[in-house]
Formats: sequence, structure tokens, C-alpha cells
Amino acid sequence: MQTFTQTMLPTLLAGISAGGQYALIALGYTMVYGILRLINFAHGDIFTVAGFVMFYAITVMPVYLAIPFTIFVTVLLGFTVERLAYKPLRSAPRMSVMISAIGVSYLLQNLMWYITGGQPQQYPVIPWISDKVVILGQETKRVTVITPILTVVLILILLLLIKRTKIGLAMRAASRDFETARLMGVKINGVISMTFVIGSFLAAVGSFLFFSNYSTVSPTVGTMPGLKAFVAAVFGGIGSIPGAVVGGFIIGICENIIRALGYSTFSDAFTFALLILVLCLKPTGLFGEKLEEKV
Amino acid sequence: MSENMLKIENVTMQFGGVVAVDNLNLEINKGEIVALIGPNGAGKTTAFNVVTGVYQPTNGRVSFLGKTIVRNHPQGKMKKIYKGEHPELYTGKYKLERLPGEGDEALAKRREAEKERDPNVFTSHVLAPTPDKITKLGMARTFQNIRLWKSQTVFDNVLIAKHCRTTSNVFSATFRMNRKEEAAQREEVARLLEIVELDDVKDELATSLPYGKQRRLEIARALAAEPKLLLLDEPAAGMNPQETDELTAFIGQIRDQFDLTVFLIEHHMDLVMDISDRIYVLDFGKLIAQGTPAEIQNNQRVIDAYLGVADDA
Amino acid sequence: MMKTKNNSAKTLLMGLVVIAVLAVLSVGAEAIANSASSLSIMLAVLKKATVYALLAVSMNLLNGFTGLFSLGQAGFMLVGAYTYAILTIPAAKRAGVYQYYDGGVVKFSIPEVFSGVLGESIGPVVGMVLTLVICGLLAAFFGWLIGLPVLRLKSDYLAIATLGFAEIMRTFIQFEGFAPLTNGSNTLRQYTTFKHLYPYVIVVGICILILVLLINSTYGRAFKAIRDDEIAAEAMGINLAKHKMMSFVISSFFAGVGGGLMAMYMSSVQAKGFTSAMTYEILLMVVIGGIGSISGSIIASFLFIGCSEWWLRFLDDPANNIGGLSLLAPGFRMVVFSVFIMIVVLFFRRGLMGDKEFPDLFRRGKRQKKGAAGK
Repeated sequence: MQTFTQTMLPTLLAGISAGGQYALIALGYTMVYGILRLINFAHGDIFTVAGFVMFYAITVMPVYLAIPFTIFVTVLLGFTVERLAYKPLRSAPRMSVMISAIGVSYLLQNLMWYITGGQPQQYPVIPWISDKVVILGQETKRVTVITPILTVVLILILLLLIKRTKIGLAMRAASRDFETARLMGVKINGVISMTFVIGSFLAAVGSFLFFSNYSTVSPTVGTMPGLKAFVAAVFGGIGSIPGAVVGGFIIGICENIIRALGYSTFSDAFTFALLILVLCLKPTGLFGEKLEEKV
Repeated sequence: MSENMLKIENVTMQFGGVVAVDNLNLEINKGEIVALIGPNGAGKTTAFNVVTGVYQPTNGRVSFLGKTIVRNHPQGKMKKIYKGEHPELYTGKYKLERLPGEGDEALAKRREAEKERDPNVFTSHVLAPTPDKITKLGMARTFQNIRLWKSQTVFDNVLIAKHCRTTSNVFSATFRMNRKEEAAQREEVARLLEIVELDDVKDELATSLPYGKQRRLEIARALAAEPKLLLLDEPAAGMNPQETDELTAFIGQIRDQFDLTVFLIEHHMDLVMDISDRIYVLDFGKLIAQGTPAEIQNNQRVIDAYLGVADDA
Repeated sequence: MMKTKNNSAKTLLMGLVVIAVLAVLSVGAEAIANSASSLSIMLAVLKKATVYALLAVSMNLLNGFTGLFSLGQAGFMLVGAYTYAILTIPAAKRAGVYQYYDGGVVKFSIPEVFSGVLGESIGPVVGMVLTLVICGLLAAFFGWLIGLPVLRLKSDYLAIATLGFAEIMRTFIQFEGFAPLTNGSNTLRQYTTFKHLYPYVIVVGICILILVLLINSTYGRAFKAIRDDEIAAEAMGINLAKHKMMSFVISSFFAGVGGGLMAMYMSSVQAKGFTSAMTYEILLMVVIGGIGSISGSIIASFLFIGCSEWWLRFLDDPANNIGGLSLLAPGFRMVVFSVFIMIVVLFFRRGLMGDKEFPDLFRRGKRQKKGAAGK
């Protein structure tokens, strides 16, 4: 028992915490993919922008304003990116939209580099969630404990939104059949914007949690967690919300166990190996649906 | 008895719980033009897709020129949900049990009887070649919704179909050591385009052709693959009566010229009755009639199932 | 008649002539670049762009001509770059480069071996070219390994799986266990390189010529058929698995050669640099040039590298700010540049060349006339 609390518990806690952060980002990927069949390569960068916005906001306003301000700016950015970079390509081949996403990612990274001068910045300490707490004799930041709880709460709200509201119904319709939904009078652009708004909101929340743990922000810092969150979304079955969450937690936990075993070089490689394994054995992921082309 | 070209035995194709083709048996002899007709959704194209290897059938086998090329029987989850003919043979573990007091001879006899019902039942050997392998054996098809290579010219569309007959490897092709073969192929394609009367548009983009010519190009493309059996999926779809007549003559002409056997799906009854030697009729995945055009025209079941519907339209 | 005739022998001859002319021009360009210090950046830009031209064309073979959306380019370049560096560090300098690993496990240098056999003048060149071929072969081997599982995947799944593989390769190269071979996460440097621009031009020219010949061969036509309609291609007897693998392996080969050249250009390599961002840059070049146009990819790589490294430099210099604005600062050039790219991606989706090739531009008038006469 003693060894468990000393060695395994911190690993597990860190894993669950990282998993929650991945899950929050993965939701943005999975919802967009569900509707537009687009891997939004810029999502990881939107997440990073949220980190920088918080860094700058805290210098001019108190925390209780900086947090909503960051969320607002991130959501606005997600919305704008969709309107400017994806909407004009609605009838273009899927590859063009994906290339546009890569272009946006490139632009955002260069923009962040320009604004910050490329230097990694110290993420501000957010009171309360960055405080130290003691759990079963192990000292850790409070954010580690809050992350999974907050993640689960947010996902429950999201599920309620999707299952119970009219916009949720429209989202489900659009993800099932984009064209038919449009013909049936679903305001498809509104639905897509809403998807990006929700995805960016969750990415902003994820960024508070993530950067409170990792403490520095740099222009490319979001790429890796972004890719991992995407892997989580694929692992769970892209397009599926519970899938993204389960995938996020599994990847977060596995990664931290691998680090704890002393193979930290391979923690990233593991994530991608897992991705390739899933894609080859069950390309639709744990909860995904099958799509077939008609001859 | 003429030479057997294509033989479909006990073919069932089930998607999830839907049986699209149910225990289809069909034979085509060398040199024949055979039509497969039936109302929309009867499973005609599905049958084509099984023959050409696009779908792996749930059960049954397909033989081409006397050799079995496709074979399968229900496996895995399909064992439980199989809904086609003879479910007792496939659902669960089927084994021919010795009845109490039954001798070896009687058992063997019963075994033969079961094989009579479905020759596939006691083999577990699965054959599922990809469509390209089947094409190489000497079968080529067209598609219901035209599938030409959009960015390629008319000439290249036909030339690409020759690729499966190329003997040079990628190195000799890249470094132009196959010049003779390439020249011969180009010549053949040029000749083929003359036959189908598309040589005047050979440098145009395939998709810039009018609809009727696109259909004809698809047939030319199939011919370039040097098939013995040509499968045409609704070749006259969307054509007016005059174009249909031309197509009827054209199919007869290429059959003779290229020594072909033709298997076609069609809705235009004029065309079907004109050129078919024999006709098979599918309805809800099941074969409901077969025979010469005259026999089919007078078959009451066909009239009920199919022609009756056609009258309304 | 023009199309029916097989004029590929002419293509080969023309290609060799063009390469020769470009090689001569590059000698001239180098002389110009060396004449003034303000032009010294030109030489670096030309070298880099030449290397990127090969990388972009090899990626175009996959993404543009075979319709396989792969994002694994950086991984294959990494294999090529490391292979090149490891095999060409002079034996005497190995102790210094592999200072933590007793000079590493590889104790020879291929250019040195060859200069021992063929003499000081041509030996190293033969050795370097041979090493580049080895870079390609090794990358092709990895391409084959990776292709086995991933090529069955469709569009975006393939993209993310190949991206993942590139990341895995990066991790493995930095792995401490392989460090005696790869120098772990430390840089590899002091290896033998081409000193002048023209060898880059010749090697890249020959590689691109081979790719052009391939694309215009019967196999290249089969690739295009797969891109246009996979189901029709398969129905017409084209083995999808075999041809996709072929395209993937060939593309990996040339990415590996490109990686080797990249190592030469950079004169030191470190696995850390070969990120997915590098793949994205090459992809953007392909897009700007036109997906499915080789000449487009070549032109785009020169424009891309020219803009990002040279012509937009003034945007980074705060001294150029006019009036009270302080917009110009380090990094601004890349922002402007990425906005350019977004404009191309959004509004000029077919890129500079679409799927046309450079010679087509002169042919177009003729064909249009003919088309009009036909109607």
C-alpha cells in the first residue's frame, strides 16, 4: 500500500489529469470531424493562442476577468478561423480544406512567433488551482485533481446540450448526413459555427489546466498535445464524443505510466504507435461508425 | 453443349440483416449475350459486384471458364444472422451427424444430397480475389454511374486500361526500355477508338464528351483490358430510343468482332429483347424466371413483378 | 496525332539538355553570388530551393499523382539526412562528433573509401553520390515497412498515420540505445558536402527527370487512374495495393535522397528539426505550385524559399519602419508570407499551374484552336 501511494498514485493522478486535458482538446477535433469530416490541424494552435492570451491578459486585468476574457478571445478566434478559412471551401474537395487547416496552423504559429518574439513565456499562476494540495500523503497541484472532475462535468453538459437542445439535434443531423440536413432546413453554417465555438471553448478551458501544469508557453507548444488529442479522438472513434473522452484518458494514463517506467523518450512514439495500431485493426476506433462508398 | 463461360452457384449477398441477392444460380455460355433484369433494387448490380470481386459474397461461388474464382460461406457474425436460403446449413455449427443405426453408405448418400443442395457446404476454403485479379483473368465491366478517369483524355482512358496487360516492370517502363510494347499498345488503342468511332475526340478530356459518347468510351475502355466476358451495367441508361438502337447494334457488333460473351443489366426492354440470347429475372434478390426473350415475355410471374411495374411508369 | 505518338525518348533527351543548361547557369549564378556580399544569401537560397524542389516533387508524386494524402515526408527525409551524415563523416573527425560515444560504431567514411580507390578528385564525388543512393534505398525500405499497414487507410486517416510514423522515427533516432550510431539527440556535423551549387542542381535534376519519366510511363498513368477513381482503376485491372506501395516507396526513395541533400545544405543535422512543420511546408509548396504539376512544384519551391528566406527579409528589420508604425519586427516576414499562402489556398486553389506542366503553356493555344474546330 505504501509503495502504491508513493509510486503509482502520482503517476495515475498525472495520467488522469493529462488525460482530461487531452479529452477537452480531443472534443474539438472530434466534433469538427463529425460534421465537416475535417482534421482541424489548427486546433492545437488555437489551444496555444489561448495560453498566450491568458499570459498577456493577466498583466492588465485581474484573474477573474482574465479567464472569461481568454475564453472569449479563443472562441472568437475559433469562430473567425472557420468563417475565413473553412467556409469558403465548403464545396471543395476534403483535401483542400485539410490543406487550409494546415495553412491556418502555419499562420497562427508564425503570428505567435512574431508577437512574442519566439521566446517561451512563463504562464501566470492562477490562484487556487495552482495551489498545492496533499492527497494520500502525496503533494500535488490542485489542478491535477480538478482536471478530471471539470472534464467530466463539462462533458456531461455537452452531452446534455447535444441530446436535449435544438442546436444539438441539428448537430446530430448534420453529422449524420450533411446534405440532407441542409435540405431539411438545418442552418448548416450556424451549426458549424456552434461546433467551432464549443470546441474552442473547451480548448480554452483545457489550456488553463494544461499550462498551469506545464508552466511555459511557446508558439509550437500546442502541436504535440494537439496531435495527441487528435490521436485520442481517433482512438475513441472519430466523431464520437464519449470516444474522445475515453481515448483522452487512456492516452494520458498510458503515457504517464510509460514515463514512470523510465521510457519517457518513447511516450510520444507510444501514442502514435497506438494510433497506427488502432487504425490498422479497427479504423473506426472504439465507438466510431463505418462508412462505405457505393459502387 | 457449348463451352461454359461464367457460372454463379448459390450466391447469397447479405449486408447486415438485408439479403440483397438470395441464392442466385446462373450460367453463361461462350458467345452468348445474357441479360439480367429486374425492378430497381432487385440486386442486379450487387450480383455484378460479386462476380467482379467488388463484394465478397456471403455464400456461394463463382466460376469463370471452368475454374472457381470466388468462393465463400457465412463466417463469424454472419453465421448467426445469415438469412438467405438454407439457413440450417450455415447458422451455427453445421455437421452431418450420423443418425442412429445409419450405415456408412447411407451417410455418404445423404452427404451427396446435401452437396446437391449447395456444393459449397462442406468446403471451408475461401477465395476472395480483388477486382483487378478477376479483370486480368479476362473479365471487364462498365459502371451504372459512369466512372471514367476525369482528368484524363479519351485516349489515355483507354490506354490506362491496357496497363493490366503490360509486361514491363516499373524500371523498364520508367527508363523507356519497353518502347515496343508501349507503341503496340498505343496502336491498339488508336484502332479501338476508330472502331467505337471516338477517334476524332481522342485528345479531349473524357468528361467533356456528351453522355452517350461517355458510355461508349467506357465500353471501349473495358474492351482494352482484353476481356473474354464483358459485363455491362445498364449501358443504355439515360439514352433516347435512337441512341439505344445504335447501342444495340454496337453491342452485337463488338460481340462478333472481339469474340466476346456479354452479360448485361438493362432496363430498356427493347434492347434486352432484341439482343439477348437468354434472360434471367431477379426480384427482391431471388431468381424468379429464366429463359429466352419469348419465354420471359410470356412469363406471368415476370409480368406481375416487373413488367406490371413498368407499365405504370 | 501529337498525343498518340510516344515522344518519351525526346523527353529524356530534352531533360538531359535542360539539366546541363541549368548546371551551367548555376555556375554562373554562383559566380554572381560570390561577387558581392549583399548577394551571398542568393547562393544559400538557390541551394535550399533546389533541394526543396526535389522534396516537393517527390511529395507531389504521392499527393498529386497517386491521390495518397501522406504527411510522412519529414520522417523519410530524416532517415536520408542521418544516413548521409553517418556515412560521410571523415574517420579522423568521428571522435570529435561522437564525443560521448567513443567515436561511434561506424568507423569509415564512404567518400574517403572511394577517394582511396579512385583518387582524390573523383573518389569523394562518387562516394557522396553513392551515399545519396543509399539514403534513398534506406528511406524506401522504411517506406515499404510503413506502407504495409497504412496504405489500406483512406485519405485523412492515411495522413495522420504517416504523420505519426514520422514522429515515431524521430523518437527512435534520438533514442539513447542507438546513440553510438545516431549520436542520440546531439548534432551530427563535419561530414563531407557538395561545395558548389551545380552538383545539387545535377543530382536534383536527374532525380526529377526520373520522376517525370515515371509519371509519363504506363505506371504513372496507372497512378493517375487511382487518383481519379480508385474503384474504376481496380475494375480495369490495376492492383491498388501494389501500385500504391510502388508510389509510396518511390516517393520515400526520393525524399530520402532529398534528406541527404538537405543534410549537406544544412551542414549539421539534428533529429529535433525534422518536425511535422517541415512536412507542412513542403505540402504548401506542392499546393502553391499546383497539385499534380511537377513544374509547378519546382517553381513554387523556388518562390517559397525565395520569399521566406530572402525577398521578404526587409519586413523583419525594424529599421525599415515608416513613420510611427512599428509593425516591422523579426517574424513579421513569416506572418506576411503565411497570409500569402492562405490567399493562395483559399482563392487560387489550383495553384500556379493547376495540373498543367510548363511546356503545356505553349501548347495550349494550339489545342484550343483544334478544340474549337472540332465543335
